[in-house]
Amino acid sequence: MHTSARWSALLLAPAVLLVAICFVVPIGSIVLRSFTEPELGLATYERLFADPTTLRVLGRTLLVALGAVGLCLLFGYPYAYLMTLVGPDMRAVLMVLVLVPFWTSLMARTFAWVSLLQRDGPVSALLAFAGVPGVTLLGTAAGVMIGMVQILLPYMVLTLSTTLSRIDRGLLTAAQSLGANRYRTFFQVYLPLSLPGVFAGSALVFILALGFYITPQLLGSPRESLIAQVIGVRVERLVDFAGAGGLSLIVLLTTALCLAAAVLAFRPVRAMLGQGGDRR
Amino acid sequence: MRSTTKILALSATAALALSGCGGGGGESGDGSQLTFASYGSEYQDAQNDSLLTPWAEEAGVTVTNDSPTSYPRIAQMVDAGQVTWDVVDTEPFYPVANCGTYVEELDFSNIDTSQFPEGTWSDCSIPFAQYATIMVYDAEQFAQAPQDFEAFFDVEAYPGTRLVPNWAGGGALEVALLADGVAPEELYPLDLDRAFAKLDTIRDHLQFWDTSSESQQALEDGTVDLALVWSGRAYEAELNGSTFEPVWQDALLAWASLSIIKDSPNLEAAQSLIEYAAQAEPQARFAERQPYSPANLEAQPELDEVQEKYNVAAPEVQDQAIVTDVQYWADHNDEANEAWTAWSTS
Repeated sequence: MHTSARWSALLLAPAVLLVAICFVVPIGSIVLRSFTEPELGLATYERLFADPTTLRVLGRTLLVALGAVGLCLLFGYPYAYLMTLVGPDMRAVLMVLVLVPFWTSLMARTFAWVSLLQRDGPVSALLAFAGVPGVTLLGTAAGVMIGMVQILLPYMVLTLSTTLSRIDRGLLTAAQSLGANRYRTFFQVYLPLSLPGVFAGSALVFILALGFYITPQLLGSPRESLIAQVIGVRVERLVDFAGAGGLSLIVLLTTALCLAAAVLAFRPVRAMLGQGGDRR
Repeated sequence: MRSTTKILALSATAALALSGCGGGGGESGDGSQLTFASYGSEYQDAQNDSLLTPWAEEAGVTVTNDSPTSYPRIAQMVDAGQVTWDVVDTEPFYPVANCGTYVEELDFSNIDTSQFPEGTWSDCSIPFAQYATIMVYDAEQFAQAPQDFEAFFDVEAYPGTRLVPNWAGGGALEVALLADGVAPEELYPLDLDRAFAKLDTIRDHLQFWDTSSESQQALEDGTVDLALVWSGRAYEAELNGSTFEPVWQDALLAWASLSIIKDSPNLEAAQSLIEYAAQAEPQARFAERQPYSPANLEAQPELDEVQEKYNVAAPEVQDQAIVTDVQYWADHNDEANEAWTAWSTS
């Protein structure tokens, strides 16, 4: 046991180093600047919180991320569920359909949405055909959400399908044989067993959504700007490294707080539902 | 466990050494080479053909190109004492705002500034080419050509979407104030609140561009009806079949500025390039390649019909144009951009 622990540490070393050099060092140095420039203290944070843009855009970013989580669950859960019902061939097809977007660059996909959603574009024409003429989704919150959900959905589906495929369907038969109807079987047996996957997928999508930059930049108007874009303006237009570092730390802490709150909220739910389904 | 720690420490040292030493040194500093940073694509190609290559041959210097110009990158390299750029093409406010801190003061003993329009050169920069931020309108959409910026805010007479640059210095603030009745000579210092209030009156009709290629694309695709764009992009769009026409009244004059980065390792070569770039010939050659007009008014480029249509140096354009106040922008860029972000994101 002791030897294997030593080997694990050794094997982990390159990864730890990589994270330290590529993540901790740059983040640390830029966050440090937020406390030391122009002089030691919290002046940068006073400045950032006095700027109404900070809290407004931060709040918007959290809401958009939550919205993306909700929509990804709405589309991803049934899809992942379907993957557990079909045969191996069909499952492979469904899996490939999820993975295809991963093989295309985010940039290319976002530009594809630009031409689909722009004025007099295909989506606009389709809506006009369906009786809603004159709608342009490019430059709106809806446009941004469509682009984000399309990019984030695979993360939700892949995470969910891992959990759902491990759920023993015999338990559902058992519940029904004991007199539970389909709804009750789902809500009292299947859903609780799937919650770890729901939680993992949601956390992943939420964190990824908080950092979105290209998608809102290309599909939205400045009114849909997210925090990453505001950080970008601080660096590019204002050459304000301290402010950008400060904003980054604020986002980092907000994310950590949200996740901590989610974990705390999730614990009693799991206890209430009786041990959840994760028996690793 | 001890061996693991040792290996960790060793590899950490090695990795840090690798990552830390990569940027050291920079250039030789013996004057045989020079790095030029500009905005890339055909624009920088044209700068090479008209300016850098002829100069380099004459001076016996090897030129390296980099792009795009980035103010945070300049700040980083100067602050870290690892300057790898020598001459840089920037917006006109930048060398005025950062003269002596991030860009070098120039030696004007061999530069004739009398041929530059007033206000286009500074202690730290010379103008290489002129352009204008102008209103363009879709001639297929509107039979009646708009006369001035009031039309830009008149959604009754000119219904449709308006495209504007998405940063404070892009020109929308000046245009809003001019449309609101501020006299050109009283434009600066800008009344930001009044400008945003005016822009709010057409807020639901506004779209924004961040890169000039986006603005050109919008003109070519006809996804907007009126726009504030750089004259050069309107020219390019017209070549690609756009139906937009320029309005020159109150065009906002700006220019490409060349400066030397502070602590440039090849100061002498950089100064020599600046002196060469200030002359009429390279500027004329550049104007024949790109839709930007010479800043040296002595230059005599041979322009075709469409180039002539967008020639910012033409006397009739110069007469009705407004020269943007670089000193104002040098002093207020940060404050105005924070206000712009607060306005545009709400």
